[in-house]
Amino acid sequence: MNAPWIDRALKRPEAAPIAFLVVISLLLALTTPGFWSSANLLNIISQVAVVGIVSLALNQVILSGEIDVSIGSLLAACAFTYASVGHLTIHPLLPLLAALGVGLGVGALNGVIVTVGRVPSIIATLGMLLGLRGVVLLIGANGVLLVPDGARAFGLGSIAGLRAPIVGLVVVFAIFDLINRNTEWGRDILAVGSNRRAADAVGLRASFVKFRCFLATGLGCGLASAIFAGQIGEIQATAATGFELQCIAAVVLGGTSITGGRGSTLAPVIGAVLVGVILNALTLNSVPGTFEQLVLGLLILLAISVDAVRFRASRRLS
Amino acid sequence: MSNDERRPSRLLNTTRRQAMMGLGGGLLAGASGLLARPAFAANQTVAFVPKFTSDPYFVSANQGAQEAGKELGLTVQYNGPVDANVAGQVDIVDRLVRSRVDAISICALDPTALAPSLMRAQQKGIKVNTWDADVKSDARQVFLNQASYDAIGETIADIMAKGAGTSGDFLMVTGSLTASNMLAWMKAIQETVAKKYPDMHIKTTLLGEQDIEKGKNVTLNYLRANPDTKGVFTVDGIAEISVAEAVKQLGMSGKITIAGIGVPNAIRPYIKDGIIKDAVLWSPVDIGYAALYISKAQLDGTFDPAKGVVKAGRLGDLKFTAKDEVLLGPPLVFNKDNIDKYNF
Repeated sequence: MNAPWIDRALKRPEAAPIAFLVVISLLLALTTPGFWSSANLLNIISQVAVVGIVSLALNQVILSGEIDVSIGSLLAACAFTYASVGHLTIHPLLPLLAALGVGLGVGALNGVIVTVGRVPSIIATLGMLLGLRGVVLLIGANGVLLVPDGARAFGLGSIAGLRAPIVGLVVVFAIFDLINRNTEWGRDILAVGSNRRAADAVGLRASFVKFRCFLATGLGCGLASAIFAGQIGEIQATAATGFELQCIAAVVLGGTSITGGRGSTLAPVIGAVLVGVILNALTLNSVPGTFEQLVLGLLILLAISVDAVRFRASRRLS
Repeated sequence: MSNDERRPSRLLNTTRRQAMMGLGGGLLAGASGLLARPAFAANQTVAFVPKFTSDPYFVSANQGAQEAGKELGLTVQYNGPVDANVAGQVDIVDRLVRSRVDAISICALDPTALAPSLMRAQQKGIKVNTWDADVKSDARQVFLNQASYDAIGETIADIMAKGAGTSGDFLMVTGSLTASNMLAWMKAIQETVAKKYPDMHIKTTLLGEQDIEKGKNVTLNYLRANPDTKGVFTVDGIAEISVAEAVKQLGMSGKITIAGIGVPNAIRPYIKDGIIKDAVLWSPVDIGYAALYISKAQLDGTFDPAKGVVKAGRLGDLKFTAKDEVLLGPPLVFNKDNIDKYNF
């Protein structure tokens, strides 16, 4: 018989992914030279910070029963905005504000199309994904946009001895954790995502709850773009292509259900780190790039299957 | 959306129409040869057609074309689509044929879609050559190849040997494991290394997917775990940026030699910082310059593969590598001293 807290911990949606992450990290520590060093581990976390931050916001959307696939193009659009404004060098925070503004605007537009226009979110945000990428290609297809050195602090700087991207990831996680644990908004999201009709019946304004989730992904992309631009130094018009799939993978791998209503705030961080650890291990072991997609695909299939089995098992029990 | 739907069908219609015209045109070809206007010695016009006009690469090519035009007394008309739109380029070629330019020198967006229009141009006595990106061989008289894969591979390997020595462990980063040009460059680098520098060991090839972030991350992870690596080969322009950024962030500048394909505008800051010493490409200015000299030879009737060479002004004699292919020359190496001369 387990103590009640262990039972509760084991039932949490992110329990299995955390266990998997710990096991795989220990295995890699034993087998892969260069993996278990603080430099490499910190490296992994700063490399997944951008995916992690946007996934934390996307997690809210998915918990509310919707999806936002426009984030890849939105991140690129925000990064272009960030770097372009960065060249004006009026004030160091101005590029960030501009990127946040673009993110917020597009997030709001997504939210309005989905909630007011009642367009399914997969369609609305798919349209946004293509449309925004078109805009970025029109503006930036002629080459790469240099990020001025002064505007790279969010990617390369450090705060109190910690790398800025890691600080950013932790802060964004803390904010969402606070919201989901201690505010009505957090609880409303789960209610709306697990049973919209019931949520409507008790008087929750589901549309407004969802609208705020889309604003969150917009802001997440705006903030993450500052780190993204700082980390890579030059931005191509095709930057962050396929980024939306990485984020969805992170959310699902971490244990949040793709159908909404079930999940945790920690899930996207665990998922993002898990993907980062596996990609890092493939490189350290000199595995040719050809195997990457195969490994990630199998991992996602495994995670989804485990989730489905657990869900059915938990239903049978209750 | 509606625009995208329209585009392919318009393209299809155009090609079909042109294919039918091509049929009739083929029968008339002999006759039109007799009817062709005598070439006027003075003030001939050459249309110089890029993939799209605004790309700095093509702007540089036009700079070379205009330079040659001045030397040769030719009017050079720079005319191409504003975006990389195949149907747009076909339309422009059709218009050039109607306006009766004397020669067309083109970098084709598509090897087959441009062919019917260019064949029709030739039937009307317009001289056609291609540069940088070729079309089907019967749609032009000659293709100007900017650099051979072997020469590029060898130059890259030599740069590596100069910077990092001829023994030890090396890494290769490529943008794609399927693109034919990158595969050919990779093969050429590996063959040169095997032949000239057998003690150089290329431990692995990582995939950057032509994405700066991806390439930077894989290189950073690899080099952190393998700090004894002496150099990194890069097989495309984006990989070169990614690797340079990784080396910069690791503080390994000077310890790791980077050798590969580089595009000047994108790698300028890294060349100035000394993270990249030399990078390899070809000069688009010279491509434009040489293409116009080939057009001139075609117009004058002095173009003859049997001679083995084409005269190209300040570039000297260009060699034939096949009866319908001319090689621009050895690859161009960019470094701190000459990079400011190039803007593309």
